[in-house]
Parts: sequence; C-alpha cells; structure tokens
Amino acid sequence: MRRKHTKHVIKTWILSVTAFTVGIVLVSPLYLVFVNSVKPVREIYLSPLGLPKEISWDNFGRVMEQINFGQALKNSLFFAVFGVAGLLVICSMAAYRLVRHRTRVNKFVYLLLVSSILVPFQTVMIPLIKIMASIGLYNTRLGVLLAYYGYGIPFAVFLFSGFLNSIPREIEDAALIDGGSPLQVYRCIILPLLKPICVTVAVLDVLWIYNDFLLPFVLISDNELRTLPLVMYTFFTAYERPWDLAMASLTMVLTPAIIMFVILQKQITGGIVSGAVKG
Amino acid sequence: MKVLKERKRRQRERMYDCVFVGPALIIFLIFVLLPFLMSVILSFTSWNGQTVPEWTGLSNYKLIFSGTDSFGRNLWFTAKYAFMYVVSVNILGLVFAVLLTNKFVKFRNLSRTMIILPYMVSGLVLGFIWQFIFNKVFPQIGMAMNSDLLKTSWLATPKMAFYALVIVSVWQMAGYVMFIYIAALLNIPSELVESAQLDGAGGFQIFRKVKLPLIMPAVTIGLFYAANTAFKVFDVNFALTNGGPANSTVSAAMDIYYEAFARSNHGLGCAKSTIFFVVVAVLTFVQLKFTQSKEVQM
Repeated sequence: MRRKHTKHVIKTWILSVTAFTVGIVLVSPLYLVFVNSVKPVREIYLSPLGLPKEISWDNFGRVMEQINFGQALKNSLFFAVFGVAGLLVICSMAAYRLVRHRTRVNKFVYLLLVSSILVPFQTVMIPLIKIMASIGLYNTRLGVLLAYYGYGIPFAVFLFSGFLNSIPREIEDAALIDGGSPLQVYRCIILPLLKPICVTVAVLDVLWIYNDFLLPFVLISDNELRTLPLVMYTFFTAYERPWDLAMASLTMVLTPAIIMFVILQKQITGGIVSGAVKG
Repeated sequence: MKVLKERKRRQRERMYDCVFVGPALIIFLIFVLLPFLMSVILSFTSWNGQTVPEWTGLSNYKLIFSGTDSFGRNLWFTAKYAFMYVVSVNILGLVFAVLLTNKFVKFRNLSRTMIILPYMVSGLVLGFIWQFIFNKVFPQIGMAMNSDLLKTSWLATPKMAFYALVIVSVWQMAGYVMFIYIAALLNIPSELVESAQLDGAGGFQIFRKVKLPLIMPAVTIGLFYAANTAFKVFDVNFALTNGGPANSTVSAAMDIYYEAFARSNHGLGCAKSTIFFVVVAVLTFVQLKFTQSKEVQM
C-alpha cells in the first residue's frame, strides 16, 4: 500500500515539475526581452541570456526620444475600448433580433453575417482603402473604428446568438404580452442576462483590436494616429537594428498587455473558454 | 379591420428589425460586403490603384494557375505550414491540458497562467522578439555548446525558417488551445472515469476510450480555430521572416499584401485574394464536416 502511495507521489511531482517547466519555457522569451532592455548594447551581444550587470534605464529614454510611445498607447487603447463598446452594443442588439424574430430576411441576414467569419482581411483590404478614401474616412479615427466594427460583427453576432439561443423565451414573451416594446424588453431583461457573453466578446475583441497590425497599417498614414503595433513596425524596419532600443521598446509595448492580463486573468481565461465552447 | 391591424403589426415589427439589426448590418454592408464584392469584380481587371481599372477578363487567374506567378508556390507553403501548425498546436494544447487538469499536480494555476501569457502578445511583437532569439540568442548558445544546429541563425535557411515560423506560431497559441481542452476535460462527468477505473482500465486506456471521444467537440473547435488562423497567418510571418530568406517563407496573405502594396498590381492582388477566400472557405467546410462526424453524443 505504501509503495503504491510513494509511486503516486513521485508521479505527481514529476508531472508538476514538467508542467511548471513548460510554463517557464513559454515565458522565457518575455524574460529575455525584459532582461535585455536594461542592458547596454554591447552587453546584449555578449550575454543575451544573463542578468544585467547593472540596470540602466538609458535605452528607455532614447526610445522615448524617437517614438511617441504615449500617443501610440493612447491610440491603441482608444480603438480597443471604443471598438469593443460599439461592438457590444450593435452586435447584441442585432443578434437578439435575428434570433428572436426569425423572418426569412432575418435568417438570410444572419447567415450572411456569420458566414463572413471566413473572410480573410486580405481579401477586402484593397477595396476597403478606396471605399474609405471616397467617403473621406481614410486616415481617420472614425474610419478605423468603423472598420473594426465591420470585421468584429461576424464573430460577435455568432457568439451572442449562440448564447441567446440558450435563454428561455418565457420571460420576454410575458413582458411583450404585458405591452412592453422590444426595446424595453431588450434593455431591462435581456441586457442584464447577457453579461457573461459580453465579457467573453469584450475579452476576445480587446485582445484582437489592441494587438492588430494590418488593419491600422493600411488605413492610417498619419503618425499621430499610429497604434502600438504600427510604431513597433516602423521602429524595427529602420535600416539599423539597434537591439538595445528594440528590447526597450518591446518592453514598453508588452507591459500594458501583461498588466491588463494580470488584473483581468480570470475574465480572460473565462472568456477564452466560453468563446470556444459556444463555438 | 383585422387585416389593417395585421399590416400595422408587421410594419411595426419591420421597424424594430431595422432599429435592432440596422446599425450592424449597414456597417457590415459598407465595410465588409461591398469591399468583398469589389474585390471579386476587380480580380477581373488590371489596376494600379490610381488610374481607371482596365477589364482583362480571366487573365489574372490564368496567370496564377499557370504557375509562373509565385502565388501557387506560396499557397502550398502556407498549406504545409498550416498542417504542421494545426497538428502541433492541438497535440501540445491537449498534452498541456491533460497535465494541468490532473487534480494532484502542483502549481497548476501558475503554470496555466504562464502558458497562456504568450497569447496576450501581438503577433507582430512576437515575431520581432523571436527574431532576436533566433538571430542573437541561439547562435550564442550554439557557440557555447558547439552545436552546429544552433550556430547559424535559423532564419538564414529556408528549411529552418519554416520550422522557426511554426515554432513561434505554436508558442503563441498553445495556451489558447490548451484552455479549450481544459474546459472540455473538466466537463467530463467523473462517474464515467471512475467506473472505467473500477473496471480495471489504466490511465492511458481511460484517456483513449473514455475521455478522447467525449472531448471530440473541443477537438473540432481546436482544429477549426487553428486551421482558420493558420491559413491567414500574416503578422508573425511579416515580423519574423518578412518572407525571407529569398522569398522562401512568403505566406499566401503576405503574397497578396506584396502584390497590392509593393507591386501595385491591385487587380492581380484581388484575384489572389479571391482564390485565397475560396481555399479558406472550402478547407474550413471540409474540416468541419470531417470532425463533426466524429463527435460523440453524450
């Protein structure tokens, strides 16, 4: 009996160490970025893996001189926050109506919206620029925001409708019979019930918009409007590759994302899980 | 009287349809459907983005299918990459999930957190980080350990650059896929596992015969999601290899991007992107049908 127990304990420890090692391995590239951001260039070349001999914040100062990090961060946050807010509103409303009022037109619209999940951005980016230019929205915040709404709608509607399908209709039907308008029913009854799926959509879409590169890249030409990925790109494609500045700039870009993750961990992992399960 | 009431009711319902669905639909039509249709139409033209497009019929498609253009080759590269990536990320995700749903394993939450952390990082940023690792860190280790494999930068040869791309993509997504499988594994009722154990089944048998069939819906999702994102790969590719060395790691999405923005061949670019869409759609359907037929009803 004892032998079996010991075998079990050993097995558990082996698994624990393995799992933890996997975690460390996966996090190590981020460690490398952080550790090298406070080293001078020569030290990075000599010992990229080791801890810094002494911490120098020099790199960060020089990065700040070259790029307006604060502005880029503001832009990224702007698109992420307002993008998600808008998506939550218009997609929950659309999904609600499409699921509850199943006319032929609505069924067609639903199919159209959801099947567009398959459309790759590359397929539409070229004409999209022309459309934006012709309505005067090229290189504007509103233009980028509307584009994000457009490309977020398919998946968000899909998630909302999946969730709505599992809500029993009795409460709404009772409210409608009592003389409530669909708008009132939506606001007072449905919206509170949608909180969990709103979290899911919010998490997935904030991550998408905040980290997205190609959409802002083709729709923005003003330096003032650039998002963080765009700034990173211009920084990295300069003809010289200053790895010390590169590491510092990467650290600056990673930090907000990691902070957001640490604070919202539960919501993020919950969102990923339910996003997948509803699919 | 009754007919009038009915008509008014229908009008009102239609008005509500517009109010609820309108905003999303209008934005979608203008910014997604319209560009898509334009793209298909433009694929039959030759256009440099400035002057009026010139109708050229099927010549763009003929060029692509004739093989003289790089798109066929790059599409095949993307397919090979996608296959390796989808298989690797799902196997790893599943293995991690099994490891981390074991009741007795220590540091479970911390390990899960570390594994999902890469998913938070932008694909572009990821590519740049790993560029540093492949170009500077690995060679250093390689010289210290005198390993030929590590001494030359992996990004310098087509074969190793391919693996580098797969590794970076898997690194980013393994955590996400892991969570999909964790959710599925946690949903398995413990009675089923316990009764199998009482029947004398070993751990591995239980996994194969009991758990695996029950998590097939998650496998469907994992494969679907991985395949979908694999084919569209752009950010990581762009940042890590930028198509190099010598255009050997150009994904389909990057090919379209270069065609449009570097060579200003918008007509050809649209033709490529239309073909790209069809390929992605067909593959997604095929893969969905295949895995859905294997799901077990609980």
